[in-house]
Amino acid sequence: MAAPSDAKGRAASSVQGLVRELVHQFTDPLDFYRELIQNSIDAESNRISVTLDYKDGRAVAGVEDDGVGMDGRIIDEFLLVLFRSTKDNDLTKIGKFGIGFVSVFAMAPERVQVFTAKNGESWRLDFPSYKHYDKYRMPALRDGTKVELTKAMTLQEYGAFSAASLAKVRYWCKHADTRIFFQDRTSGGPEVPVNEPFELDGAASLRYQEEGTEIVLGFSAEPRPFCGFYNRGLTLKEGEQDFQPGLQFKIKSRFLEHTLTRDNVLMDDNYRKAMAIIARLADRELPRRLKADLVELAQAVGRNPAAEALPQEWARRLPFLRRLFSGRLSRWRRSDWAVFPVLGGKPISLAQVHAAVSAGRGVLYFDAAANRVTEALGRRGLPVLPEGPWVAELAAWSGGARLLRASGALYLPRPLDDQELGSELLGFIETLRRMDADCGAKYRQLLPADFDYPGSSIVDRHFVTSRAPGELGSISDRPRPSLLWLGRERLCALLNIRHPFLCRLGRLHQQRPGLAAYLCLKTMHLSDGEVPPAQGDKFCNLAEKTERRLLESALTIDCTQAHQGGRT
Amino acid sequence: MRPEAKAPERSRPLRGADLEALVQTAARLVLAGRLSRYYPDPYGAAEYLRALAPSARGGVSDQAVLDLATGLPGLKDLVAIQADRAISADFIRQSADREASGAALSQRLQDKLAYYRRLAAVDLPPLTRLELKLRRVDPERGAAFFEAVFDRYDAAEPGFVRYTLNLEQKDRGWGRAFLKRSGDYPRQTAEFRARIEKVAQDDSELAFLLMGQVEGVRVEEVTRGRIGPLWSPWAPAPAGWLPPGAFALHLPLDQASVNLAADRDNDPFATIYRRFLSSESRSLVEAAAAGLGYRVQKDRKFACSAGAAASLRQRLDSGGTRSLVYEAS
Repeated sequence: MAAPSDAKGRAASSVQGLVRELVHQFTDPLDFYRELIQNSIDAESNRISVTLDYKDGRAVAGVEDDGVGMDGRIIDEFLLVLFRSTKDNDLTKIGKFGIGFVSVFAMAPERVQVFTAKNGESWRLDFPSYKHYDKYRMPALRDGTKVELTKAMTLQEYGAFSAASLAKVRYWCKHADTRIFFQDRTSGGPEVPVNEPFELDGAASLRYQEEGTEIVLGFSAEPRPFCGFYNRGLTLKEGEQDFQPGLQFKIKSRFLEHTLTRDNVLMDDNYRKAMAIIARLADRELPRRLKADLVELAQAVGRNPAAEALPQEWARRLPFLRRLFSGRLSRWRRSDWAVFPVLGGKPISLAQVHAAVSAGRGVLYFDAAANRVTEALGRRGLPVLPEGPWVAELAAWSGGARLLRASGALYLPRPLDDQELGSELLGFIETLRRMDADCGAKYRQLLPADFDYPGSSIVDRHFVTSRAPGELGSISDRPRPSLLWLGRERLCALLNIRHPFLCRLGRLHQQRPGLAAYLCLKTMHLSDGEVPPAQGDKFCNLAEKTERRLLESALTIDCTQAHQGGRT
Repeated sequence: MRPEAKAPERSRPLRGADLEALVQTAARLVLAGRLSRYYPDPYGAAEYLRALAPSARGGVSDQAVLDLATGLPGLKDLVAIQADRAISADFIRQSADREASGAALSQRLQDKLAYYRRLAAVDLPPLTRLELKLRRVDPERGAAFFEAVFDRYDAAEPGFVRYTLNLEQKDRGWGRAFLKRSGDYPRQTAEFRARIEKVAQDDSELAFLLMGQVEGVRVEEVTRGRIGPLWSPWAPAPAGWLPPGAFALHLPLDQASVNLAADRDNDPFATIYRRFLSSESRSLVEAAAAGLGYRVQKDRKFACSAGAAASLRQRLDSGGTRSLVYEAS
């Protein structure tokens, strides 16, 4: 039971008008949570409970702390006096203006009650509206302060109010230094902690602390990275802005203040000092961190280029790397940073990329995964980059190198030993060799080969030519006209033994070896390049001769086969 | 020849289930006590106590030495927890290396690893910490206002203690500054640290008086908050205060402040320092207090185990104090 009323207050009419104005300056009626929690933190609380309940058609929202509370003097001289605060200019407090408490009237509650105690006094204040209050001395002492707002609403409205309340409290208070808990007692749910670690999405790359200030910095791929400003963990402002390209941050500082309207951080000397710290960290500390991060990522990408998260993490750091590599001089100063991944190898630096581009005649190779071609390039000392965001950047930074996908631009079939073939296929290959020899030996060697490897650009071809077996070939090399081999170095022909066309010919070879070999070699000749139109007349006769020799050879082989078949 | 008197027992080792019950209950009571920031960090204190539980220590130790005056573990046991925390990262890394090399961890090592992992994950504040904050600068008065928070675990009377001091320093004192600052950033001087450690030995009034002697410094407020003593079956309450087997944690708070209108003593187990003195000494201290302009208040609240609140409240009421009593579930 309350003791007889100690005091009844009524605000003067001019003050009432001012209060009405102040009440309406809060953009959201639920902003009262932030104001009350701020007061609780300033009251040296270790724990703040936000509770909701629904009784008799009314929602009751409560904010209770275990802080130092208020005595009669503080209530009369500060709580109920506008623009008067016990926290004037106190850098250890968040509140400054002495108007936070009136925010409780923004959602037009039926009643606001305050329970508080200090110095052996215990009080209850009843506010039917912002226009007047009743103050009661209470017999029982208590710890801290509890503020309760009561407002009539339907149960459905209450559900929405509860969800919005939790979202609001989380937004404003997630990084608070003080532990904050939320409980909707009507829903029967447990008390949930509101606090979240002071981290950035995707983890911070740098954490900085000095007395009163904590900063977390991270890299961002967004054109307007995230930034958050907090005072003792209470949100002053969160948003997207390009303070520093490629850099997201959160800063929690007791020196930062909110504006009177609470929707922004006050851009005063302390703000400028805070931003100067961030700029200093971005210039002096973050490049080191970036290098370490990229080296680690580049090593991981080199080992596992298929891991999707790694290039994303690398890309998140790219805008900041671009900033550091933006000028020739700054690139040169960091040209020894081995931060670019290499397929199956150690990361390389920009200087090494320059050297590789020179050695590769202006070409910079990349590929989705390691394969025969990339390994062969590696043996030649040409690094192949995994596919990723670094490829285009490196092409630009290395003076406009031509980018080529290694397995798309080059090919490398693996020659097979005859012993690796089955007897049918071996017979077919031998027939081909014999017919080619009979018809002028266009090819130096006819070899079975495996064309199938990751990224292979020749898996659909039934043969390719090269100077020597196992040598890298280039897709861009023009085919050599089949009729022009006379007087030139003869090439090796490598046959794709898994190609469906060759498999079918292999089966035909069992019945009609001559026809099968003829069809194969004829197709190879046709595929092996056209006679330039200007020389068409000159070689027309030769083409017919070659065709005739192939046919004669085929006929001989098939007749022999038929004869042997007849005998058996 | 007179028989030699047996010295009263000052401490006793506690192990196994007894230690488990003591530290787990103590941790619960600390958190039930609704402590403001004028008290030592309740969450940190609870973590230290829980870390001493044999169930948590993974076989590293199952013993602590209980100080019978305060009913709490001695400083040595808490320092051991800190030392374990300091080596936890190395132990975790070595265990991971061992597992990576294919060596199986014995059950004993696995238990130990779980202890170190938990210790590495919890927020364990230092046992001794001095924090200095600039509150504001008043150019008109030519003064800066500071808040100093000094935490320690009392070695003589084991228990967590926090001193919070609000101090004003005049600009002219900065030639030989007791408190230094650069812009908004205060810096602790060696003299300041030494002084704080010297004055933070007794109650807030004594600390106020001693700190008030520093030239160029005006003390506004000194608050001392404590966690302890703890009444338990092993360090029992005086007869009649608690039912058998119950626990009660004392949470005293005393403050000397220029912002207090009058002295107030609401602590059933302590007296305002000046009232404790002889009339001759008291007049000297009264004069000093008048000069410094402070008043003193003393409070003590309690957190007790379930079923103990009624008897505790009854004794407190009969003693004429209005102490808060929280009953932990």
